[in-house]
Amino acid sequence: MQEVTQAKPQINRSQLIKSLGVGILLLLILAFAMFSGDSDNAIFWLVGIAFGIIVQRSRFCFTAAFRDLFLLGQTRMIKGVLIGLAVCTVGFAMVMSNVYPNPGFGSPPTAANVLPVGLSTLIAGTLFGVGMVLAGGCVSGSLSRMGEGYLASWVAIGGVMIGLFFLNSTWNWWWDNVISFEPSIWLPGEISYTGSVTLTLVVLAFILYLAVLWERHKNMGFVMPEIKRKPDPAPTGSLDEIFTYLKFPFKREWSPIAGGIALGLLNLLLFIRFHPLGVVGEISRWSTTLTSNVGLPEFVLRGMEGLGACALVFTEGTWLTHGLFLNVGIIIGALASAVFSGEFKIRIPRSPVRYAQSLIGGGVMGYGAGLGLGCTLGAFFSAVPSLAVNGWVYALGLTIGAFIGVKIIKRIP
Amino acid sequence: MTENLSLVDLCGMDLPTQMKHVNKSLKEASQGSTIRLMTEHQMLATYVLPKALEINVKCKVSPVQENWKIELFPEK
Repeated sequence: MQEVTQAKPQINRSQLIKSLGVGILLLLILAFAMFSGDSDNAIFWLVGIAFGIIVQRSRFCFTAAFRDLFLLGQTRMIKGVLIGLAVCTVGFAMVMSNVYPNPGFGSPPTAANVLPVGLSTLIAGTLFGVGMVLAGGCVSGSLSRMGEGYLASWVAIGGVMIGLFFLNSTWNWWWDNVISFEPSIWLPGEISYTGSVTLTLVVLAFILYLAVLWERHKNMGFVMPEIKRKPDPAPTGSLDEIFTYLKFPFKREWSPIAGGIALGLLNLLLFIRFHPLGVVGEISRWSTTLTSNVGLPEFVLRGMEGLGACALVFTEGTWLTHGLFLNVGIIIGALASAVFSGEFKIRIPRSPVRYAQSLIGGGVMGYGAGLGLGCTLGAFFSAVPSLAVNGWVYALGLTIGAFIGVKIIKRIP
Repeated sequence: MTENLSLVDLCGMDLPTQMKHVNKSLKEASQGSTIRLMTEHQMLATYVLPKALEINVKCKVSPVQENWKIELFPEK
């Protein structure tokens, strides 16, 4: 008779200790955020953590979405971005139509990312597109990769801070000569909510169609199937079963579409209570504070106070801002997700060229993000659902920039 | 014809760097070398097939655990 033995639960002790350590860190900072004088900080901390986990698990990357179209002729990531935008657009419209039921009257919602649109938006998007491809990640993507252990992303964020310093030093010229003359165009004010949402969804669907056509053309119809994974062994006990549930989100890579939907919903949740997602305003504050501490001049930026989105805003007397908890939350969230899934690793670029590429790319990206008052998150992923024309112009700039960026990286040895 | 039987593991490198390796390998394969690469990117596995076809290089892509093995052989 065949003897049947029960398999012992396989719990990796070192992995468990690391995961517990990171889990405790998350909770300690959450407690600190709750009692930091502004309990809303805890919400931004949790949103940052969720953002970091979503991006780490789904490999969701705005840079890859634009870059891979030109580098590999592939659309895996752009599909996720488009679906995320569609989810977000419907949700944002529902929120805005409740708060501003008559869009034809008065000014656009102050919390939405409706910004001046024109030449500055296009230049900002193009610079950002070139920079993100050079740096290998956009601003929010670099923040999450910092947590995953990518040293080059730390350098890229350093570059972003330098770029933002240069932008701040030239902002008044841009404001006096360009931005102050540009209009803010909010679609519901022109064609109603129904018209705006319909138009946005039709354009998103059309871009998806064009992207798929492009991919089929570039790949001659080849599509590699997904690798079939072995099913997981059944849990051997109650403790093992509980661990299986806890580990479930961290076992497999999520699809970019799942990532896009999750990010869209997260953006919507933040918008319902506060404002859309955006990380650049806070990094601009870090840049200004650090540069003024080393004796570099601090600039008075004209017109900035009424712009919203990711415009530089100072909070007198405290470093503990919503933006700080959001941005650090993204880094720690990605770190936690990488540790929980056993994927954390310090990744040091072998080639010194990669550091220069990250720094220069980060610098160009930072300048573009400052000029456009946001990155792929604030000026694109939050602006298009705000039904603002500036989001589309920025996206056009990102596409042009990504195309130029791909041409450049192909020449780098 | 030269044959490079070792497997070049590209996993963990950023995507543009991996693509440069693949392009270099395609060129070497078209000049008579046999090359084997390993990548974690499904997109790269899709990318290499039409490129190999364009330059008459035989290409075999197969899944190995959670990664992709790309083998490039000269046509004859």
